[in-house]
Amino acid sequence: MSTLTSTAKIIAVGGGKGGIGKSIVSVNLAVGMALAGHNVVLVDTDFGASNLHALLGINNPKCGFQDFFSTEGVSPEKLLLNTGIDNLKFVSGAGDNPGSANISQDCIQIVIDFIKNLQADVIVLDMGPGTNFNVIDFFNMSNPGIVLSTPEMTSVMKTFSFIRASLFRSINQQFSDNPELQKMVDHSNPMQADMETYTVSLLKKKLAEIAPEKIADVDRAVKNFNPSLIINRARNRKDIHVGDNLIRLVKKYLNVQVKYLGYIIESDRVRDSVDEMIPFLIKDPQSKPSENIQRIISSLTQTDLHLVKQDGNIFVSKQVRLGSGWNA
Amino acid sequence: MSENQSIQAIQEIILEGVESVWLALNNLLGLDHDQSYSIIKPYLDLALDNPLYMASAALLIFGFPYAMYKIRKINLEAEQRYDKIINRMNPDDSFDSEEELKSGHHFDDDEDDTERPLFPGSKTDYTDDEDSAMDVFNELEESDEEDSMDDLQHIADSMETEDSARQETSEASMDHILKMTKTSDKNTEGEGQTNSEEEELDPILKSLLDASQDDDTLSHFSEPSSESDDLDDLQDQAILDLQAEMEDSINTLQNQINQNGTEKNYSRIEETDESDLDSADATRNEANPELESILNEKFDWDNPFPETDEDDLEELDDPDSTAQAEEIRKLQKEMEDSINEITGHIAAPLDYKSISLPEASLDEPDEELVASPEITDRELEEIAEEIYHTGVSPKPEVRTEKLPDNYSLEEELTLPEDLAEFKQTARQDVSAQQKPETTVSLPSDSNLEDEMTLADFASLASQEVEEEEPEAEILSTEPIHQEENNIDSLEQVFEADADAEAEPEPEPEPVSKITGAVFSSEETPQESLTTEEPAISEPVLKTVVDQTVSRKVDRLVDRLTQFQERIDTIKNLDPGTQKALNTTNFLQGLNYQKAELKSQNVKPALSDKEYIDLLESFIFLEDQNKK
Repeated sequence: MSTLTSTAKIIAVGGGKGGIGKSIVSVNLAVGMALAGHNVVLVDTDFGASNLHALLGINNPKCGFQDFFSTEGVSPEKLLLNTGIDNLKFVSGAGDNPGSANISQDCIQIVIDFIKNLQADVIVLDMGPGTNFNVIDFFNMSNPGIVLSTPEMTSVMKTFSFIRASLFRSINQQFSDNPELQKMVDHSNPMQADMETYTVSLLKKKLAEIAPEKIADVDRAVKNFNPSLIINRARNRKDIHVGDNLIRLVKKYLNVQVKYLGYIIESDRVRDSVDEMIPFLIKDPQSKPSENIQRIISSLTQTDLHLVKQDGNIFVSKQVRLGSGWNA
Repeated sequence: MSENQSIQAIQEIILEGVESVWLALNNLLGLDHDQSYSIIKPYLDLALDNPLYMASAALLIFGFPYAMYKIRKINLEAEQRYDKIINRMNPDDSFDSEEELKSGHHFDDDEDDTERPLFPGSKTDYTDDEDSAMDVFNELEESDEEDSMDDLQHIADSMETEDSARQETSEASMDHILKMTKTSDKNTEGEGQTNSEEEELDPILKSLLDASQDDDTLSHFSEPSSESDDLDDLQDQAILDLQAEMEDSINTLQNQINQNGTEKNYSRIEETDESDLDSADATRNEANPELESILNEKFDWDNPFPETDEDDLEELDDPDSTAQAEEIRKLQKEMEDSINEITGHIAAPLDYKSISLPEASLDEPDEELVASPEITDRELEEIAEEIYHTGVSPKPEVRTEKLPDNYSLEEELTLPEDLAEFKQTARQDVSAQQKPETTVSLPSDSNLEDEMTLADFASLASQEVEEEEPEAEILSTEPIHQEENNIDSLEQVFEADADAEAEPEPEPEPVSKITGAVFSSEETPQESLTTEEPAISEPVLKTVVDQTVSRKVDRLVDRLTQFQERIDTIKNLDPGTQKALNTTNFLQGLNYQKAELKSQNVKPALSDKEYIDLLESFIFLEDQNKK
C-alpha cells in the first residue's frame, strides 16, 4: 500500500442503498467547495454505474479509470478532466470504456494509490451502492466519510448496515495479523463469519474472552471512525428526524458517534438540474437544496459559505470560522 | 341750512370726482370728453338733485353686482353640499355587478332578515330609502328650506304607494295571466297607478332638489334610491325578476295570440305595456271565444308564470296573416295535445318534443313508437326482450338533451344549489297543481282511470316529489357519490360483460341514452309513475306547467331525471346481471385471480422508540433481536 503523499481531505459520499442521491450530492459538494476557493477533485468510484460525468455536463470523458486499468502508459494527470468550473477537476470512472463493477483488488489499490497522491485541497469520492469491499475500502480511506440516506425505512436500514460494515472492515484491518479474530468482524462472508458479533458490545464481549488485548484496538478503531450523515430528499420534519433516530441506533449498537451534517430537501429543482446537466448549486444557488448544500459545506469546512447568483454570475461569500483547520 | 350746505358740498365733491373719473376715462380711451360729458352731465345733475334717483343709481351700480355675486355663492355652496351627499350615498346604493346583487352582502350587514318582508316592495324596504332621503333632507335643512321636509315625506309616501301599487300590479298581472280572463282590472289599475306615481315622483323630487340643487344632480339622487328599492332583498329580487320575465313573455304571447286574431301589427308583440295587454285580451276574447273558453277551462292554475318558449314565439311570429285562423286552431290543438300528452305520459311517457307530432301518434303511442324512424331494429329487439322479461310494455326513449361524451355524473352531483332549487321548484309546482279542476280524458289504453283531473296529476306529482326529495338529499351526500362511482364502474364492467358472456343478457344501452326506467313486473302502475315525474311534467312544459319554472330548473329536472333513470336502469337489470356485477365471480370469470392479503391495515404513525424497534427488527436477525 502506497503512502499518502497528498494533504487533501478526502470526502467519500456513500450509502448502502442505490438511488439515494450520492452522485448528485457529491457533485454539488465538490462544486460548492470549488466555488469556495478550494482545489477540488471529484472522483467517480462507482465503477459499475459511472454517471458522474453526465451530472457535470461532460458528454464523453476522454479518459477514465477503466482506461487507466486497461491501457498502459496512461498518466494519472490525464485522468483529471476539466469541468468548466474553476478549481474543480473530475476523474471519470469509466471514460470511453464501459467499465465494470467487478474490478479486481489490484485495480482498487491502483485507484486508492491514485487518490492518495492527488494534489488537491479536497477530494470528493462518489461511491457506488452496497457494502462490498470495493466500496467500503474507499469509504474508510476518507476523512470525513459521509453516509447518505433518504428517510425511507429501507434506506435507513441499509445505511446502518453500511456504517456497521465500514466499521467492522476497519476493525478487520486492525486484526490483520490474526485471521481468527478477523472472522469475528468479517461479515462479507457469512458462511465463515461469526455472526454473533454483530454489535460492538458483543464483539468486545467476545474479545474479552478470547483476546482481551484487542479490545483497545477495537476502541481505537471505533474512535477513529467518525462518519457524518446527510439525509437527502427530506420532505418534512419527521424525515429530518429520521437522521436522529439513525444516529441513536448507530450509537446504541456500534458505539459510534455519527455527526449529523444536515439534510437536503426534496425539490424539483434537483431533478431539473440533473436534466439540464448543471449542478443545482450553480443553476440556482439560492434555491432551498442549494442552501442546504451550502450549510453542509459550511459544516464540513468550518466556514460560512454563501453563494448568490446575479446576472448569470455567482458571487461567493466565505468567512472562515476560527479554529476551523481549513485553509481559506 | 348748514345741512343743506354740507349736502351741496358733498354733491359737488361727488360731481368733481365723477367728472375727474370721466375725464380720466376719456383720456384713456381717447374720446372727446367734452361732448360726451356734456351729454351725460344733465342726467348726473338730475340724479344728484334728486336723492331718490341718486339712491336708486347707487343701488343699481353696487347692489346688482353684489346680488349676482351672492346668488352665485349660494349656488356654489349648494352644489358642493349636494355633491357631498351624493358621494356619501353612492357607495351604499350602487351595485357594480350582478354577483354583488346575488351575494346579498350589501343587505345582510345591517338588516335583520326576520324583519325583511318577502317582497322588496313592502314598507320595510323603503325605510332605508327614507333614511337616505332623510339624510338628504337633513343636509338640505341646514339651508333653511323647510319645505323640503314636506316634499320628502311626500316622496316617501309616494314610494309606499308605488310599492303597494307595484305589488298589486304583480298580483293582478299574475291573476290575469293565470286565469286568462277577459280583463285584468287590477293589473291595469296597478300598472296605471304605478306609472302615474312614477310620473308624480319625478316632479316631486325635482321640486325638492331644485330649491337648492341643479337639475343634473336630481337624477343622481333618484337613481340610487330607486335602485336600492328593487335590490333590497336579493332572493326576492330574483323572484321578481323571474316574474317580470315571465310577465313579459306572457304579454308577448298574449299579444301574439291577439295578433293572430285581429291582424294587429306584429311589432307590438315586443311591447309589454299593460294597455296592450288589455286590448289584446279584449281583442282575443272577441275574435276567439273558443280559445278563451279553452284557456279558461284548462289553465286555471294558480301560479303558471310562464317563461316563454322561444320556439313557440318563433312559430307565432310567423307573419302569415292568411292562415291566422289555422294558427289559432293549431294553438288550440297544441294545447289540447299537451293535455293529452299528460295522460299519455302517465301510461307511457312520450318525448315531450313530440308535442308537434301528428295527433294519431298521440292516440296510438305504440304505433308511433314502431313507426318512428328514430327507433332502430335493435331497439325494437330490446323492447321485445324487455316485454318478454318484464311482461310490461317498456316505454320508449325520451329523447331529451343528449349528454356529452365527457359528461360526468360527478358534475351533476356537485350541484347542491341546483338540486335545492329543483326541490324548491318542485314544491312550487306541486302547490301550483293543487287547484286545477279541469278534467282530462285519458287514452283508451291507459292503465289509469278513464277520466282524471289535473288535481290527480298534481297529487301524483306531489307523490313523486315526496319520493324524490330524499333522493335529492342523498344525491348531495357522499354515499350517493360513491354509489354513482359504483354505477359508473358497474356500467363499464357490464359493457365488458355483455361482450364476454356467451348468453348475453338484454344488453343495456348506454346509460346516457336510456332515460326511462325499466318497468319491473312487481311494480304497480302507481309505482311506475313515481319514476316518471319529469316525463309527466315535460309535456306540460310546453303549455302550462312549463310556464311555472325557468329553463334552468327544467334543465336540472331533465338531468336529474336522467340520473335517476340511470340508477333505475342499473337497479332494474335482470338479477343475473346484477349478481354477476356485484360478485367477484364476474372478475374471476375474466381471468382475474384474487390476491390473498393477510394484512391490509394502514400502519399508524410510529413514535421514535417504535421506529427504532421496528428498524432493529429489520436490521438484525430474530435471534439477534432476542439477545
